[in-house]
Amino acid sequence: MIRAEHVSKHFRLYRKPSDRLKEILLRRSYHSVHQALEDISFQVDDGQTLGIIGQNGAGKSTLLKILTGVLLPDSGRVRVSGRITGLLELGTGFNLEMSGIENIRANAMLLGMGADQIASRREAIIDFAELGEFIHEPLKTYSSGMIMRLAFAIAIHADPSCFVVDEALSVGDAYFQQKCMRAIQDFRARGGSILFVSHDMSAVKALCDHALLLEGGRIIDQGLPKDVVDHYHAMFLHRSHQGDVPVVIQRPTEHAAPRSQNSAPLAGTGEVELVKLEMLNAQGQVVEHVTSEAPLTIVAHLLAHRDLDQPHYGIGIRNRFGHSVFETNTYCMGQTPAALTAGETVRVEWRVVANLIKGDYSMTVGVGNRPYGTGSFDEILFFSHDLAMLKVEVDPDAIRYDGYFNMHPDVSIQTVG
Amino acid sequence: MNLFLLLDFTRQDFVDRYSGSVLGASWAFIHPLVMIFIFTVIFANVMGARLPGDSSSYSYTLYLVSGLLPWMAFANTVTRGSTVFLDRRNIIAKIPLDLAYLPIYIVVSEGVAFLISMAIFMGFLLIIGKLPGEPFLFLPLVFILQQIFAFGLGLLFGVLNVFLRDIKEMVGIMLTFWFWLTPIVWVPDVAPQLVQDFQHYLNPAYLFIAAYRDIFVHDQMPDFGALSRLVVIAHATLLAAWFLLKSLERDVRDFL
Repeated sequence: MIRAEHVSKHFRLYRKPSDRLKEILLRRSYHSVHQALEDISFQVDDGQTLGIIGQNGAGKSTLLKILTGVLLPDSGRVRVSGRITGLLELGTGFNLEMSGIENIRANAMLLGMGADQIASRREAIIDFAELGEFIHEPLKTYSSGMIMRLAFAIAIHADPSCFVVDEALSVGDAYFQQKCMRAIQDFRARGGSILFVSHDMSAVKALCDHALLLEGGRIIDQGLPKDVVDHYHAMFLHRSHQGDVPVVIQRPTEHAAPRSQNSAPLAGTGEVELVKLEMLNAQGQVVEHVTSEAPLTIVAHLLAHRDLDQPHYGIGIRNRFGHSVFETNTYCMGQTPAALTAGETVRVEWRVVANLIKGDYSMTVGVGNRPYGTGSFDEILFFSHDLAMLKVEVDPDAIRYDGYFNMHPDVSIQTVG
Repeated sequence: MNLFLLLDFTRQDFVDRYSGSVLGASWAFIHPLVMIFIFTVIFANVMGARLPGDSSSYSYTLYLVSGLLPWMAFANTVTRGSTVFLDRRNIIAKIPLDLAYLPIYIVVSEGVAFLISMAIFMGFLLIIGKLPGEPFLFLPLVFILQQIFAFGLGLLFGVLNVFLRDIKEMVGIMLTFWFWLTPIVWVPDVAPQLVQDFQHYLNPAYLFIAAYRDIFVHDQMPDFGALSRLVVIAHATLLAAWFLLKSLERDVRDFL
């Protein structure tokens, strides 16, 4: 269990460290202040995973350092039941002159393990790291991936109560990453708490129970990973839009229910309004569920509040984890929709085949103006997730399959010998 | 920060010091051996130095080495303590260690080195038939007090050195002055009265150096008045260092 209560941290920035002494002696201020964290509170229960996301410099590393105890907060309290380990100690106490075996001992000791504990875990650590004969070689002969293997193997075997997973994991090859993820999941199943710090938003959505979004040292959003990640992405739309109109990002207040269709967009200037969004089945009836493999028509009525010379319309379908299953827009499809004048409403209709695996999906709609590159826009006028929910049901006539969608495979089998 | 980890730091300290060398830890024996040999040959035999009022040919060697070995342990502890936080910054920045306890491994490590030198010195004393008597039982006490004092000073300079790197160099200069101001190489009787007074009242190092002399050279009980002054000074220094660290710990961690 990890609990942070109103944790704040500022760094005093001195031009040189000796200014700190000058300050004490002369009682004058020689620093500028950088507020790294402000009033951070959260809790991770046993067996839970918390995702921490945010842009570079948002305060993620400072927060981790305070949680692990290497930095002291200005105010607030941190409580951790037991030990926090993770790859953030990658290479700490690793001595490049010593062999892997010796480093296991030194590193495990730094993590606070006792001699008997180290002795009993050593074989498990060696087995897990799978370094073969290299375990007896000095660390200076290791690749960075091999060092990461060793560091991870020690960290996960150090009986932590909380494990920090960060980007350092991506140093490993695909095989070992999978192995790490399995070990982390086992650890969670045994009641460990996990802090997941990553820029891989799909992973955050797939692995975390909760997420919090840091920006400028503050928690600006906290809740279900899917929602928080949406918010994070919206911040980027905000940033990539360099136009003259300030962009208002609004968070949906309700998580589960689809947003009312004419509510303010998640991102965008709001100069285009979604009047209506409907899903129609093959018979043209408005539906909220459809059989897999059946035709589906998605209709959006969009009202422009200003002239748009090169408008484009986007559609997206996301699964219940918030993973995008399919998304495209008219620009990417090579279309050139007609310009819009203020006050005009367009009816955009996408006709697709819903060959998705059964499950719950949600609709995303976006409107941009003046495309460039491979699918970016000078202006984002409307962009919002979860505008409508769609339930896809099993088509009893189709093959049985797993994954995301039916690729309609052909198969042929021949005896060749 | 547990005892186990501290002992491992100490062990690692020895391993690192001699790692890669063929003779390994035996260098820890060779250095004091050579030192004792040189001082014996140069001072006792070549220069014929004698202590005033003592005609034995080894008396000056005895005097010199019994002051030099503790001083080296003391000076090394202070010097290395003053850079411990910077030297170990990569660990401090990753693992929650109690900073106040970290320099202890240096104190212990220098203690072990002292023990080795002392064993060789005792061998030498055995050969020349000058083994110390009962006062020798007070040696551990004197050494522990000396190292508490060194620990306090090392910690104090260690904290300051995080903010002002010049401290490390200043400590080196200070210790050089201190070495020559303390009667380690020279005999107090030859110094002007002013310097002799300075020893008793203002030089904490003299308090323990004199105690070693009493044990090894004069074969008499150390001056307990002086030792109790050392107890106060050593603990006051340590306490001051501890308060300095606690009041600046946040900054120390931020700067590392």
